[in-house]
Amino acid sequence: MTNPVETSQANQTADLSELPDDVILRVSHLVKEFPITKGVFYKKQVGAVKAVSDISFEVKKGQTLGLVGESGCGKSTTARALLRLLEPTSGDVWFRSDTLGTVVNVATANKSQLRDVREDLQIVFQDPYASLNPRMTVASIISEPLTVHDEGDKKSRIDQVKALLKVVGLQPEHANRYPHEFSGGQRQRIGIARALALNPSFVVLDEPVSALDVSIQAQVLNLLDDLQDEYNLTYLFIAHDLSVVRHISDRVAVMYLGRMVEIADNEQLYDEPMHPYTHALLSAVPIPDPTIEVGRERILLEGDIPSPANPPTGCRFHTRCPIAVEGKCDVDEPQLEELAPNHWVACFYPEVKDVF
Amino acid sequence: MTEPLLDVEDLRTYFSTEEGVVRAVDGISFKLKPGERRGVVGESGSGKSVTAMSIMRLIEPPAGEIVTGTIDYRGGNLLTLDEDEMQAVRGGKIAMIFQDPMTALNPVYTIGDQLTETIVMHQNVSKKKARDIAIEALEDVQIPNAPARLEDYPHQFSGGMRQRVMIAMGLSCNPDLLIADEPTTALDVTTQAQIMDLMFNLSEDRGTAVLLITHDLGVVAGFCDTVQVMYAGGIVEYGTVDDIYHNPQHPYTWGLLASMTRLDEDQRARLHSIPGAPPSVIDLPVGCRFRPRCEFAIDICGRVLPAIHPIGEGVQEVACHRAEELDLKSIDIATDDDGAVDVDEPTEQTVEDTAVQEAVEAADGIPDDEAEVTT
Repeated sequence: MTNPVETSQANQTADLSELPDDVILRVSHLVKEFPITKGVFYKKQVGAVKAVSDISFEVKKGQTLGLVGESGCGKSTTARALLRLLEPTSGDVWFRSDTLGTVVNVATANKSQLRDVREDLQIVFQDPYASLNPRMTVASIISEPLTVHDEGDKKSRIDQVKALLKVVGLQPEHANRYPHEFSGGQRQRIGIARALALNPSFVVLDEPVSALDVSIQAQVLNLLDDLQDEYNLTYLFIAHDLSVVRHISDRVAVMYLGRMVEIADNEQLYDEPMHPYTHALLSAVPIPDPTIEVGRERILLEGDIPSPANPPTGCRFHTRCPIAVEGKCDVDEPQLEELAPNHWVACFYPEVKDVF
Repeated sequence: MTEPLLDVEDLRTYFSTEEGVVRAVDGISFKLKPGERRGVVGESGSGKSVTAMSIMRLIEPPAGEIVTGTIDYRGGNLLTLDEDEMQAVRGGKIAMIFQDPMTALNPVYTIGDQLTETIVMHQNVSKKKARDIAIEALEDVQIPNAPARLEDYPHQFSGGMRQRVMIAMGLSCNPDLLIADEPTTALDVTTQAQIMDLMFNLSEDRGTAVLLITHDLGVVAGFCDTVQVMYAGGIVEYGTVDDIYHNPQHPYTWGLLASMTRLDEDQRARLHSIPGAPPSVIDLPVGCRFRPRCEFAIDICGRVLPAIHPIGEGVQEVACHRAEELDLKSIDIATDDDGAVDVDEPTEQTVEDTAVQEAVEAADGIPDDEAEVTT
């Protein structure tokens, strides 16, 4: 196992040997800060919102990495920065592109490389109401990526739109309708069809089921499972719902205030969580079973998440951590360490805890 | 048998829209005991919020109207009160908190102004006394440094803190009933745990009954004594939390529980899923409203709307024609493979190719710079 914290010191288009064969994406030391400016005419930077601070992880081909955390922890910013929808402040995003046949650093890729990479790297957004243009028909929405990337002729695009609609569980005659004619679940299917149009190998799913009702959530999760099997897709699944992430992920990473605090294989993270924040997070998720809930002890965190514009010194979680040690946790910043095979934790006092 | 605190009988709340009459709540009846914590669960459009708004008489004609029914609160029908009398009930006897605390609080007044306003209105006390009560109320919801925070404006509070303020405001007049409409949906899970814990303790200490309206079956499990499940404007099942979670009798309740991802279960297999989507409340199906999505539907389900009736030894009630003969517990959902693909109407293979072609051509005309955003 390669150390996910280690940077690969290679140039822009490193040779394939830089990434182990089974790794499709390696994010290393990714940083994204948003400047805080003052003044109307002479904008002066007075600070920065440190949304993502030095995040490193790998995703293996055909697997799903779940990225969890509460609002403001930087999970969506991480996704957008690695897709270059936001310009990263620093760091590398190594991606094995099928289209280019090589490993590309997305963070520094030029415009034409980026265009090619995006054939392989797609995203599905959370809000199926806001992410579809209300003035475009479903057919134009789904065929737009094909048009942009100049794929096929009109005839083949029509066939492909019909095929994609069928793949995501919609009917070919839906092609001529507009987004408002669909329910939330169906709109999310349209968003998924658009992401699949270019046959990507990697799809970022940013809270894809959060806006949906429970019975519809299950339909969409099943669809994502089926598509992954059928097209050998790799997913980065971003969510705040830890039970959904448990269902879909092979590996899970937990973020807090711009930092990654724990990353482990699915069973390991849920059965033997080691970081106190992961404990609190897991213990806060309600389980739909009154017998379990009544006897369950919650780890209640004090206060609120601090501002990322002014994160605490030392460990960013120390202000709310039930086991923080004065003079240590508020001074030194813990780094991710491999405490069990494939199980990385950033804490000075980690311990395995049963939270159910 | 204790007198019910709230007795809702055949409540029907309709809205008239351009497309037709929306039967948001369509003939529901239920009783709530003093101090009882009741979960009202259902998906969007099931009528759970309209139920709450009807009780508070917040439905404004001509858009919406309570067309029939009675809502007895401690023996008196709320629907016959005039506006002044109702005003005394709202906030005084029955308090309500909403999903989004930012829109429920007035941004241009301090928290103190808003809290004391409620207290002065309902308790007939001086402003100074009201301030003391307000400080106490904020302390009860564990807001640190309460006297100073009274001078703050809503934007100076975080989401969780705002919801605490709402709870403080709701409970400041010691109501008998607190209606909480998705109180933690907008909050993070650790904040949700704090707020639910707080609400549980306050309700326990003061004997306040709670009507918790939510789509989250997880939150209900640890908080409520009883649950009513709503679907397309009606109550389809009622029971204690144990009944509902361990022995669901309605195929909808059963399907909902089976389709949930669970934190405590390693279930990488396919989820059970209820096909289709809830019906439009303008155009409700004839017979049982769940029939189009129900895998157990038979002939009668398409003709007769099932009445809710008692089942079993306890308090459980269900609105299903087949409840007595079906044994939902014995069905192995793990092997149930219902492809999400055939969720819609049966495929009609009458594709108008020309129209699809037009649409694709329209997409061709999009300038590159605009198109790039979505790729």
